[in-house]
Amino acid sequence: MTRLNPHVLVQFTRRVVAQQFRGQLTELHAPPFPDGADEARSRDPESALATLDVRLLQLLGVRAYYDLATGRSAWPVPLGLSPHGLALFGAERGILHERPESGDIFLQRSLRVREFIHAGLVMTVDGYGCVNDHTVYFDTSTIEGDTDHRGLLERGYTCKLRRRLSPTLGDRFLRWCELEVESAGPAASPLPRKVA
Amino acid sequence: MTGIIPESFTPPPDTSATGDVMQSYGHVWRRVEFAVERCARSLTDDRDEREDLIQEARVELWRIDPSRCNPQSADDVRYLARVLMRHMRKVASTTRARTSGS
Repeated sequence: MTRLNPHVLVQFTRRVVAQQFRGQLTELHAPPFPDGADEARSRDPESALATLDVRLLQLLGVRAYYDLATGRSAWPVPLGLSPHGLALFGAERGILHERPESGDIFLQRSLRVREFIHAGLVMTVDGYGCVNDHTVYFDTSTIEGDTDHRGLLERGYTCKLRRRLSPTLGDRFLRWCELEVESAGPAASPLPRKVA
Repeated sequence: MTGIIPESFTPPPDTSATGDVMQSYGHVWRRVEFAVERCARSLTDDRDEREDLIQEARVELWRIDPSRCNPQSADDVRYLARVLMRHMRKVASTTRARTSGS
């Protein structure tokens, strides 16, 4: 058993989004079943239930850790979850954190309902601070789907954003790279160019 | 309460441009501005105090990050306006208590 290197995903995402996806409609490039996903998982009808923002993360994760030799991806996060489902999964596995790191999946908490409503990938953590002496925040650069250049919810586009996330306001970070996988696969190998 | 007006979105230029979530501030503020101002008028007749309360609501909106509220959802906008008005009432009562104490 081993763990995947999150910087492979960050670098893959940076390239693919900059070259192909940025400013495009997320639904055009993030299908419910990403190419290269485990066929057994793809046949599960619940795999198609992921929200658009999570579909982008699935696509990037599956492609970044796709092994051409075996024809399988080592991406360890289940398909078909909502942002809230990802949070429950993370809490169950003990990989939900309050401080972000590069490569984490951020989960944004709703103001109105006690649920996580939006997810994206933390590319870099640029700083942190405190508002009113009690609200801690982290300034991050993110790549996310189903948003717009202002970071609003359900806007449909894939964007690179500067986003302020706050554990005090309930935001959490899914450190998926702490999940163990069966083999390292392409984690330490060059990026799979053919599937990009 | 202002109505929810769907609006078209122009994608950012296909360059190295990076969006900023704080740009959502003005967009969301416009949705709650009327309710906040009405609440401020109901809390005080003094113009300076009123402006102070509205400014407090602005700071509170900045603190809670407007992007976690969906401006297309009437429920979200209504809830956000209630949060800001509750904050203004709290500030107003604290200020009143402080003034009467001194």
